[in-house]
Amino acid sequence: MSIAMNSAENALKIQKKNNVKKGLAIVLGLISVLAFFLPYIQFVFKNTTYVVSAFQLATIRGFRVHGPALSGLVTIPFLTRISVVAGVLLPIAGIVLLFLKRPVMAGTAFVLSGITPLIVLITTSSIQTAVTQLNISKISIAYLWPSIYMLAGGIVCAILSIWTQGTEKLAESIFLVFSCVSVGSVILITVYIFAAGSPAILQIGLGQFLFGRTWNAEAGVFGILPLILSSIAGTVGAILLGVPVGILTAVFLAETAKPRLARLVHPAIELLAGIPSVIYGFFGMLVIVPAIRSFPPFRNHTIGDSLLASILILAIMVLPTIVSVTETSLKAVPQAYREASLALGATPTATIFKVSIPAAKSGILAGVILGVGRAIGETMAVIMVAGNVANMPSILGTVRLLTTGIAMEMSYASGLHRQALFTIGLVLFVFIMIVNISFTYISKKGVQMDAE
Amino acid sequence: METKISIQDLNLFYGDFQALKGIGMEIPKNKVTAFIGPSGCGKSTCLKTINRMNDMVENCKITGKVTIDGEDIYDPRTDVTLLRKRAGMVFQKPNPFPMTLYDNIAYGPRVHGIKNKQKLDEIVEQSLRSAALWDEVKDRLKKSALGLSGGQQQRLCIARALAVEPDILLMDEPTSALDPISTLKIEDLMDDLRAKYTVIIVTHNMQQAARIADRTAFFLLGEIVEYTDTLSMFNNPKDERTERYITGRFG
Repeated sequence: MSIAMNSAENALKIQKKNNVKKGLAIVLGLISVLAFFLPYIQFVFKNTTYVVSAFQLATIRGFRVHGPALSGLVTIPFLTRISVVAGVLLPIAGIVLLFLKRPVMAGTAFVLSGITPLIVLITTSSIQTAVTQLNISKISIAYLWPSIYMLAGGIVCAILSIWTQGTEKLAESIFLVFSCVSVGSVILITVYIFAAGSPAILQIGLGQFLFGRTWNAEAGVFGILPLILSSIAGTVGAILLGVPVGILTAVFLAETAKPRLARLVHPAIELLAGIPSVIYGFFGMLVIVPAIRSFPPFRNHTIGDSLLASILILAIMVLPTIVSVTETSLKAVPQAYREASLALGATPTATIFKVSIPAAKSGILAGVILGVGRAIGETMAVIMVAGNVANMPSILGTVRLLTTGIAMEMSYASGLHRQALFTIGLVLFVFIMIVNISFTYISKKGVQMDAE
Repeated sequence: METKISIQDLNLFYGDFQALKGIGMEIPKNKVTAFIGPSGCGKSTCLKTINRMNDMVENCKITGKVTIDGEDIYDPRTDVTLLRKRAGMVFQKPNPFPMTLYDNIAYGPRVHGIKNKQKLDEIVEQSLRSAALWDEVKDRLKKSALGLSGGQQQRLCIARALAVEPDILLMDEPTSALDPISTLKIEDLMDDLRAKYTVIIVTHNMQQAARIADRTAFFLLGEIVEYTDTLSMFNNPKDERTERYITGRFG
């Protein structure tokens, strides 16, 4: 067998194969273009059904909808129009780029064309909100075969056109695409949360919403200060209780435990992380709440469902995060530091507190912040023990947190109430973002300090 | 010559493996003693028995006697932290703590209960001067120790060991991770240190032993083959195995 790498015969073979891939990509791309004119989405408003093609989505003004009380024109969101137009322009661009021998750029265009149905999917859901305002409860949106084909076809076209560059390039591109999927989801969720959450702010007023002390959905009063403060109080309390316990547990596991005992304790803590939060809720309802209710000093001052109960249950729930991150970072502290400390005559305890923990502090802080994120976001367990009345936080009183506020009312809310719940989601999202950004910042700072 | 450390019939086992076999030696005060020998011959292990760093190794069993100034350090009543304060150790790889230079040096005195700021300042300066590092770092005491070069880090580790006022300094291949110039500086330093400290150095480098040690012990397979004045060992080895090792024919 010939080992020549550039033999003419070989080059011809590759050329032939590439032509097949290219041809296939062009055909599939043309089908995508065709799909633009085929039935794309089906809207059902109460008892009127509209089947529209992407072309129609881009051109018609909207749907006339008749509700029991009101009727009106539901307009098609601008972003939807742009994305369906992009859905036809991008495959055309891809085909042209293929002819211009720019396979990578063509692949990018095809992938983007595949994404357009997803954007349509997200933007059209705002139609749902609009219809709810017309007092129509029943609406459904179905995405028909052409839209699904756009998604699959776009990706296949991209793979084919990049494949003409060789397998290595294809592998690289696939990694890139998958990373785009994860980043893309984050971006989409962010955009959507902001889009869904902001209308209510405009209507209620930011100050009124954030600092209003009363939440009364029936009366149309939406102030979430009690919810914000309760969430903060619950999280801070859980961290104050959970952090010392967690860090000392991690020290025990990483530094002082006999290996056999550590092998026993470690899985127990991992198990704690795997327990579904509703089970924590049960535990809280059946053990913590009655215990608080009947604890002598508290008797007659509380019904048991309280901020305290939420704090206790959250403190248990943040433990596994704090323990495992702290343990990992303690184990990453070089043995040489401990040896140096012991060789100077420091006791093992002094070594732990003065060398190991300071050396692991950026990791430990990261664990604490992850714990904060877990505590702020926890919903189910807290619903079951917090009492869920939107009071200002007091340790023995019933409270409602941001998360539980959404979860309790989402199922029946409509109109402004519903939008206000989205806005609570936005506030929660901002909280979590702040937590995560500080997490990134701190872990980066830790790395810099070690490298200095 | 006054004896500082006396080792008698020392056997050390890691589980079933016997790492040291019947070691016996008298280490003189205020001299530099070198342990040489091929890898795995037990020289580092022997060094670690002197400040009981082997205690942390699981399944490590020791028989025999090690005394410092006549006190048996394996006596159950021995305070290990005080022993380690007396016998400081410098490791093969420089291992400064991820703290400032100042805190590195002050660490030892602090854990031994010195809180007075002025006293600590004095100790830090004194130790850095003893380790011939003061002039290079006096302006950056509040900077991270990890920013120093490898050779500076190792001298910092020596200064850190000196800060707890030991009278013995155990050095486990202290220059094997360093470049020749840093090595030279540390060798010069050891030359100065012998005036105040009893220094024991484990080294792979026979020229280093010949340059700095007053006495040298040659280890092979857990035993001491020969232990004598450095000059006579290198000029006139008694044992054939020693001769073959120092002339580079094995090991």
